[in-house]
Amino acid sequence: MRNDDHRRRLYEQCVEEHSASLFRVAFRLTGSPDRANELVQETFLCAWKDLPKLKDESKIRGWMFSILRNQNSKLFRKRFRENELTDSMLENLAEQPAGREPDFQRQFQEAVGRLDEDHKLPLLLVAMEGLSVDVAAETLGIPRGTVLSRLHRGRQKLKAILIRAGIVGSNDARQPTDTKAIRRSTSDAASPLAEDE
Amino acid sequence: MNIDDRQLEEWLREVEVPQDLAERLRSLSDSASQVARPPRWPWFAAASVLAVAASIAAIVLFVNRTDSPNAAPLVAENSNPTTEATPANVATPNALASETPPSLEEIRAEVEMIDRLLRQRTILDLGDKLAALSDRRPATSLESNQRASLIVSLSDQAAIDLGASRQSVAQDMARVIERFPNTRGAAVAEQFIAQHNIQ
Repeated sequence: MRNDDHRRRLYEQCVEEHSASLFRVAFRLTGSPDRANELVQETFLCAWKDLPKLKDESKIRGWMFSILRNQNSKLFRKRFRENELTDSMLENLAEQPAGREPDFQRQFQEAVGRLDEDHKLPLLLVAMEGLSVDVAAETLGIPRGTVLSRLHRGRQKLKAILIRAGIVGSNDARQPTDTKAIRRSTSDAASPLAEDE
Repeated sequence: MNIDDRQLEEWLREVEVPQDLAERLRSLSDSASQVARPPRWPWFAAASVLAVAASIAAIVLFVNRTDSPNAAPLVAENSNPTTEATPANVATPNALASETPPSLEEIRAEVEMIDRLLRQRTILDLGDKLAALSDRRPATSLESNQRASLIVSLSDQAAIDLGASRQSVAQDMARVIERFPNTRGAAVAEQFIAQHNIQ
């Protein structure tokens, strides 16, 4: 990092180019706009402090997602220690997001929340945000083949949850349903698509 | 499964990003800078005062014992590359007798004295104090032009080498310009500010 001006320019470039993408992933990880805001702010704060240590600026996007992932784990553990996470909260992670069709989005987010992180993260990084498989592999610290495998399985699991809970019909049409059906569908979806890695 | 991958990805991306997110994240770096950056002034003041005091004290002592108007400037070894080591930048001594340069012990004693007496926070204040000291020795009093040049040529690069930010040094440079307008030292200070694109 040459000097403060360069650091600031790089940071602002990061905000312009990656903040929306990071927020989307943060929201899908946390299920809450407020927690997503908190997570993104912690991520950028950490990034600002560690920018001088970044050796290859071309890898900054993957680097930011790594920070986001680590901060998510940290915040999750913090909330768990502070007893913010109870069983009832764990069963109702999705909160009302802003935007169109709030019921569908809430249910969709709850379905996403049902995925385990191993399958959720590749799905969010590659399918949702368009990271290359190689960058996702480096970000997650897993081999390329594992990313592809988990991405495929993540898609299958999410689709299974959505269909079996009746959120999405066989013709892709969105349908309202209850959250208990989503929970049942999660356990149904888990067995035929068991993780073998 | 009948859900298309693209449809799934489209649903995943249906997240409303807050309008003010980017603005909040930009202001975050300002707050982080103010908190994270350790206060430089105490370190800068202590380190630069010692370094500058040692150099200026050495020159004052040397000038005290030198009577040649063309004496080689000690400042040349420590000066900013942009400052020319010309006779205009060096104090013109009035003493006539030619004596040997001060010993290291004498310089060290002078520096220790200055160190005990001076706790100035800017190079300008330091320059004033040292000029006041030199004023008590009429034979070695410095003209404003030379004083400003001496301050600037000794302090800016030394200060940056010691870890002071260019911004803080530039602020000192601006005070030199204000106090000693139309001098060689002011010209060097302006050059420093322009060189580092400081507003």
